[in-house]
Parts: sequence; C-alpha cells; structure tokens
Amino acid sequence: MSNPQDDKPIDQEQEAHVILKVKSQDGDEVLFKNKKSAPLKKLMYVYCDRRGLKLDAFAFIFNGARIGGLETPDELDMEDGDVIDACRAMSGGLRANQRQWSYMLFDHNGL
Amino acid sequence: MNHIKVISLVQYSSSVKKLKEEFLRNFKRFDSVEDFSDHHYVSKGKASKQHSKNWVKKVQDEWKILNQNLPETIFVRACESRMDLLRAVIIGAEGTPYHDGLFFFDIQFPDTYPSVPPNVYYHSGGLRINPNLYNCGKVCLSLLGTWHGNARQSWLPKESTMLQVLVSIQALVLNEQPYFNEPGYGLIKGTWLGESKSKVYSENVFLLSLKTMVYSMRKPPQHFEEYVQNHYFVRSHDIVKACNAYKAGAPLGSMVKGGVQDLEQARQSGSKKFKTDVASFMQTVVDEFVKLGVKELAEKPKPPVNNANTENQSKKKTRKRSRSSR
Repeated sequence: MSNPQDDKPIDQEQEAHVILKVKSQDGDEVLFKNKKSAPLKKLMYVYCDRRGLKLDAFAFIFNGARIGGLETPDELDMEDGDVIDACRAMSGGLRANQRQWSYMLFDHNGL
Repeated sequence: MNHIKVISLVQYSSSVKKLKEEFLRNFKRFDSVEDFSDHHYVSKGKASKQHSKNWVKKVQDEWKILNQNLPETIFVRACESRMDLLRAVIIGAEGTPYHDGLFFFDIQFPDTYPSVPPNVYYHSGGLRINPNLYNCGKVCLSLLGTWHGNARQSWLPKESTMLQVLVSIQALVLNEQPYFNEPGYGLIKGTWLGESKSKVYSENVFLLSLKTMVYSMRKPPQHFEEYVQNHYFVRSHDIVKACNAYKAGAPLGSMVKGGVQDLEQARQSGSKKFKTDVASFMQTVVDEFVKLGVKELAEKPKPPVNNANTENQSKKKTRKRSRSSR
C-alpha cells in the first residue's frame, strides 16, 4: 500500500527539479534546487544576493556559453550536479580600469 | 606516504559516518526500557501500583498503535515497570525553523485515562520555541486539555490516541510559521504586518532551536544518549551549511538536505539581526559538533590551481580588450 504511494512523489520530484552547483572563481560552491521549467534568472538573483553584490557583478557561464537568465534547465539540457561557473564581469578601457579598481576595493571591504 | 595517510583518513571518516548512519537506521521507533530515572513524571505513582484491567489494556493498545504507525521522524520509549510513562523525540521537519533539531517530550497516562487526556511535558531547557510550548515545559493544546477549544478539537475518550498527539505536535505545532499558532494571530496571516512579524519570530525560533541542539548534546535524555550523538554527528554538515547560508542572507527554511538551497522557498533574504545572531552563536554549535568527533567542519575548500589559471585568462582578456579599444 504505502510503497507505490511513496514511489510516485519521489519520481515526480526527480522529474520536476534539478540540483545545480554554482562555482565561483575563489573556490566557493553553492548548491541550488531549481525547477526544470523555471527560468534561471531567480537562481542568478539569489546567488548575487547571497554574495551581497548586484546582478551585473557576475557572468554565469554554462558549457562555455553565458546564461542570460531567461533560459530554463530544460532548454540548456541540464542534469543533477551540473556546474555553472560564476565569473566576475569585466570590460576594457580607461573607465573600465577605474571600475575594476573599485571592484577590488569593494571586495576588500567585503572581506 | 602522505597520499596513503590522506586516503586512509578519508576512508576512516567515511566509515565512521556509515556506522553512525547504520545506527540511526537500526534505532527502533518504538521500544521498551527497564526504567525512567530522569523522567519528569517519575514521582507521580509507583512501580508497585496496581491499575485496573481496562487501564492496562488501553495502555497496551496504545503501545501497539505506536509500534505499528509511528512516522520516520518520531521515536518513542515505554517502560515495562512503569506502564504509565512514555518518552518521545520528534525530529524537526525540513522547511521549518526547527529543521534538524531534536525535541523531547515526557508523557504520563493518568489513572483515569482515557477519560482524561495524558500529561505531556516538553524538555524546554528554559526556552520558548513555540507559542504552544512554554518555557516551563507545558504543552498548550486543546487536544491535551491545557487550552479550551471546540468540541471536535478536545480530547475524545473513545477516539483520541497518543499517536495522534505526537503527530499533531510534529505537524501542527512545529510548523513553518509558528507565530500564527498563538490564538488570534491567525487573523492577520497573509497581511504585510502578520508576515513580517512571523518572519522575525521564526528567525528567533531558529536561534532558540540551535540552543536546544546544544542543550540536548550536552545533556541528552535517558535512553536517547547514543541516538542524540549519532543524529547530530550525521547532520552536523547540513546544519553548518544551513547556518553559513543564513549568514550569507538566505531566507530561513530554504535549505534542504545536503546543503542545497531550494529556490522556490526564496522570498526576502534574512534580516541583518538574524545574520549577525547566527554568526555569533554558530561557533558554539560547531564546538559541540567537534566534541562529538566531527571533523573538517569549518574548513573552507582551498582554491585549486585551475582557478589561478582562470584568473590569468581573465587578465589576458582584459589586456586584449583594452588594446582594441585604444
């Protein structure tokens, strides 16, 4: 009696969700449980909120391509345990150099 | 030689954890013990007291019901020499401020049972972790006759059982938003004021739950000493990961087993006071875990060489872009 009842919700859970690992450049790893049909925007937002930074501070890269936020795990064919790299967003130029410096200051304060 | 030591150390820690998990798996949900010397109601009644046949039969029926129907998160111990005494432990559910905690209840069947409800005492340690669980150990429930409710919510001699009491405590008392358990507060549920007060209350409850963990590790109740040690040994990493997540701003209750953050639970981030309070008290909890023999708790993984390469690559990219812009 109880066995089939237990099996069904477990199967549904396995089908509905995927566990993703977000890895930053300083070695920090965070695990998230995301619906396969839900956009990854929320994961990105929650991760940045957890790190205390704005959304544009990170570039999320999966399989070599940057994630824009509107994709879903189903579209990107993600599975349990897949790794998303969170790299610090950077750009070039004189103003960019100043911005880079301000990032370093921010990190220092964060520590 | 270093490699061999590292491998053996890893194998040792994993084998220890397997032993602990096996103990937890084999721990009987219902069992009888010889005596209850530290029971709260031990002074009421005596071992030599004679009870009526109906009372004895009813208590044995209760034991049978508990033996067959206890859920995975409730464990009960009965006493053969003192049939009127029980002791139960309830594991806090995921998604609640009580997650991973152990909560102990001492139970006594009165002489006129089942005409009157059983007496239930909560091992509070002086902490009030729920509107229904007072810091003096009183359990305030209409089912137990300690609070007035309508006829259906009260104790029904012919229908109510001890299993119902324990399941009610687990699901209805130790729930996601305990603030609304206070009589009358349910009216403001769903409003901005109610939700904000509930959030603050739940965060405070989690801190008290951490303190309850420390109290039970330092002085575990009789017949559950080994269970307490093994439970917190196995769950220590999950608890530490959750605390680290709360320090980083994750909302309370969003961590599930294995240190994974459930994004569906993500609402507002935790308040600043909650972050600082968790950070300040967390070290005490970690110290207790270390006493249990848990290793590698607070150490953060060192960044591997790959990350250094990544940094170099990013620097190179920056240089290229600056050249092109000029």
